[in-house]
Amino acid sequence: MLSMKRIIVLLIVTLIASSCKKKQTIWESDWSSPLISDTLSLDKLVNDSTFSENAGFYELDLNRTLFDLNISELIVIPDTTIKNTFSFSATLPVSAGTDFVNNVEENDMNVQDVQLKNIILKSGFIDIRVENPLPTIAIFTFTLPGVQKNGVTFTQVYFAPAASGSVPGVVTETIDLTDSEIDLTGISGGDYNLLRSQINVKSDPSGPDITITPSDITKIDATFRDVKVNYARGYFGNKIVSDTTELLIDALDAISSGTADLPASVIQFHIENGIKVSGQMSLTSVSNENSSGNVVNLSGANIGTNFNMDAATGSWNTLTPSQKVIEFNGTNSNIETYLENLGKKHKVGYSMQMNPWGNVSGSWDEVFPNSKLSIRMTATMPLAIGLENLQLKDTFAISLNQDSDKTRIKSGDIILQASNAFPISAEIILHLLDENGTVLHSVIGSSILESSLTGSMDANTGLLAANSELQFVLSEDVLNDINDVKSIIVDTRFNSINPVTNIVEQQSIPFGAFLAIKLKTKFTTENKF
Amino acid sequence: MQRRNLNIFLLSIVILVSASSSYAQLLPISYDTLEISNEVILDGGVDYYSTAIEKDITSKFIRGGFISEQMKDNSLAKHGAVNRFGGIGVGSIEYRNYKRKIFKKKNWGYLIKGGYNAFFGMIYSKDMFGLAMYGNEMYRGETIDMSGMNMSFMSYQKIGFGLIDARSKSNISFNVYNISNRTTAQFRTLELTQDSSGDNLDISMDGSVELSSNKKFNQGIGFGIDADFKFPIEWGKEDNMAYIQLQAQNIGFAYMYEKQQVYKMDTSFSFTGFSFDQIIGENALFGDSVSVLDSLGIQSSEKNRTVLLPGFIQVGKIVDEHSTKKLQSFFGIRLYPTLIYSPFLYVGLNYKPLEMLNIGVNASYGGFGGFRGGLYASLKFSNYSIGIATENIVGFVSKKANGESLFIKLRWAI
Repeated sequence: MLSMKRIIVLLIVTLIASSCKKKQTIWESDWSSPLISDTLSLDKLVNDSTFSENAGFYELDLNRTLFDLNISELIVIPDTTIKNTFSFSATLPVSAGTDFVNNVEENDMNVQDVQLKNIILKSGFIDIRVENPLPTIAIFTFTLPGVQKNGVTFTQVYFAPAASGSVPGVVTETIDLTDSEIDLTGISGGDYNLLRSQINVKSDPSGPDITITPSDITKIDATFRDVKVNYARGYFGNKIVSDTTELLIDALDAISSGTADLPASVIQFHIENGIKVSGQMSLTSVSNENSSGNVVNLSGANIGTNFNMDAATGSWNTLTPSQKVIEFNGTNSNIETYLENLGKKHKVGYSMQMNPWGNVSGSWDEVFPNSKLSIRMTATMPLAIGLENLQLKDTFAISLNQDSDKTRIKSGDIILQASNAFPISAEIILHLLDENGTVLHSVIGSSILESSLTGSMDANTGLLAANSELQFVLSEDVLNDINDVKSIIVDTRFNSINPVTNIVEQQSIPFGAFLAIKLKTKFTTENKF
Repeated sequence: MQRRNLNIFLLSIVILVSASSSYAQLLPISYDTLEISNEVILDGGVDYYSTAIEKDITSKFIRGGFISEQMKDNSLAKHGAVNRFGGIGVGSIEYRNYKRKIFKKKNWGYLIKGGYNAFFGMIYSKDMFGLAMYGNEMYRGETIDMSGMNMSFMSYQKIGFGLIDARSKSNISFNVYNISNRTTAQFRTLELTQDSSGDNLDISMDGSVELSSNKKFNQGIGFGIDADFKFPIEWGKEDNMAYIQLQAQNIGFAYMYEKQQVYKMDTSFSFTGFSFDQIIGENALFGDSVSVLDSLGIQSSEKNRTVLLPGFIQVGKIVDEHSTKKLQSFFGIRLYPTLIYSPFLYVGLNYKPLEMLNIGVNASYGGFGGFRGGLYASLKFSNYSIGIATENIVGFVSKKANGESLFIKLRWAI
């Protein structure tokens, strides 16, 4: 018994001893690896503008549509139900096969602000519901005299079942109205927005003789649904369209300080009128706001002035829109100051009015499938920029985690090798921020990214290019705090200094300019096992 | 005070036994044909060694500590084209009952055992050691060739029940194993080429890696046997007798019922750095919808596996406890069913100056390393015996040795 106790004690001690942990095994090793290898060009940096070449240098062609009104927005026909009824004034005996013809009726299409005479539908449906109160089958002939499709007037015949007591016999049908032409001039032929309709009711020729009463009301409900117009003629009213539209240029949001010197430039607003309606248009205001909150208004005689817009000419395939160009240049405006504000948010206010002089066309305003009313802003400028300490700060959220009890990076370098064909130099600083936005460490690049003006001819591209190597030293102090780093600000200051004069000058960007980057790491790990 | 010191001494021994946990590989088997009633054997040890890595590095992986540049340089200089490194560890307790006969007509008792085993071994290139210890920076402009690397690790626990012949002590036991950890890696090709500027990495891989996909203690179950048969043979002149021992340990299979993470790769690619499109935007490599492994040509899957237990077979002449000779030889060969462990040959001399004392020396070659010398001593008093041995005597005295070895065995016969 005593021996068993000893065995158990030995076993327990053995198990306890087995759970002892060894100290960590630690050694250091040196590693290096490429991280990024890519070439940046203006085509990659900007995706909403086009660049063209002019005498070996880039030119910026900015082209943004601010406003675009097409036929579907101009002519809107709401879903409309027209109700046709047929009733009798007295109680009458009716023999089988008797016809009852109603008069042609007018139905208002409920179109607002516009007086339409004639339309052609791009698409749309008519939902028809026929109710027969008679105790015999009734044959309904429903005609829309103003509606034609492929030259045939709209006529539908329905055999409505006999009513059962007070419950009428019902027939429903949906008809596609695509490509139908609709005359909305009413019975007189001189009105607008009025659709004609007619019902013919005939009792069943094979059925019994019946007696009709004033309470026997036959009905046809016709609902126009999802109507889209392909063509419209009439008087489109003197509708006023005014709005302010915003343009955001995100890339300029990162500018923190510094100045830019831009060449004399021209901004044009192109008004295109593809509707056969004359009108007036004005730019009520144009302004931009930069990342510092500074607002510059574009000023000049063209702001607030009404410009006449001629009606388009021709029709269908021969339709020719009228064009109007409002230009802002260095002579008639403060365009250079406006652009050099480097606004990230641009606001353009405009106002347009159709038919400001009333129905002078005699209700012959016309809109075609390809008609549109648009305002487009264009800017063409040589890409010649003078930059003096223009500071861009871009913030990236990061989350890095190193456990001091496990293998970790002890120290290291980030090495940026660049070949720069832009005539702009850059100084780069990395600010490491904690979750409160406090700068924990600033890692300064060991040298500047040289401007191409200090370089030599690149044999492959025929462009001047300067090679630079920037080293960012991640010391042990930096890496010890790496777990607290929640964001990195890449703080870059750009300069366009002429290396001969040492003065900031406007520098034209050579066509095909590039920035080839190789980002590499070299670090020492403290390995723990 | 004396009792306290004795307790500390005993506790130290037990800790050594259990913490190192290896098999008493070459300890003179106290082959005693005297019949006894009960026996408790507590043994264990650790034996790790290498063809090239010096002890001052390997010991740091066992006990912890800082590996200096000098230590790394010394070991790197010893590396050849093909190198081995490995170790085994066991801690076990065994109870033998010779008195209770399992079969009426046989003089067979029974035994119950339990223990913990670990096996680790690898064949690797000099470049692999360099990469692991120094990093890739010093290989700029060179190819780091790690082809042919083969690594295996398994740790497991076992309990067993068996039969033992009361006179010859030959025995066989049937064991159930719990596999708690398993990792294997095999690379027919594994090359990393860097240009001198560090701009370009060319990687070529053809191999596979398997490892546990979770941290559960119970990863698989295994079944195997231990066997220990001793045969008397005529030895030398004058009808002298000697005993040959055929020993097998942990011969069997295990089924990994927990899925094993399997990575298979037969790919080569060149890396010069990511493009901005690869790290930013919807199609970024590290986005949710893009698998980095797939893009590198590495297939990842989870599979159940049936695997061989890291067992061994050993055949050799052992020392006869009742021989009248004071000097006896012993020798043998040990084989593991893996290329990582080369056939292990050993030969030694046992000297018995007193009835209660055995001391001996041995030499060995193979296994995870090259030539090694060993030393042992065992002491028997009353019903107790204790043995202590090393298969790497240089490892006890020099940091330049390629490993360490220590086995301890305690026996209590009633």
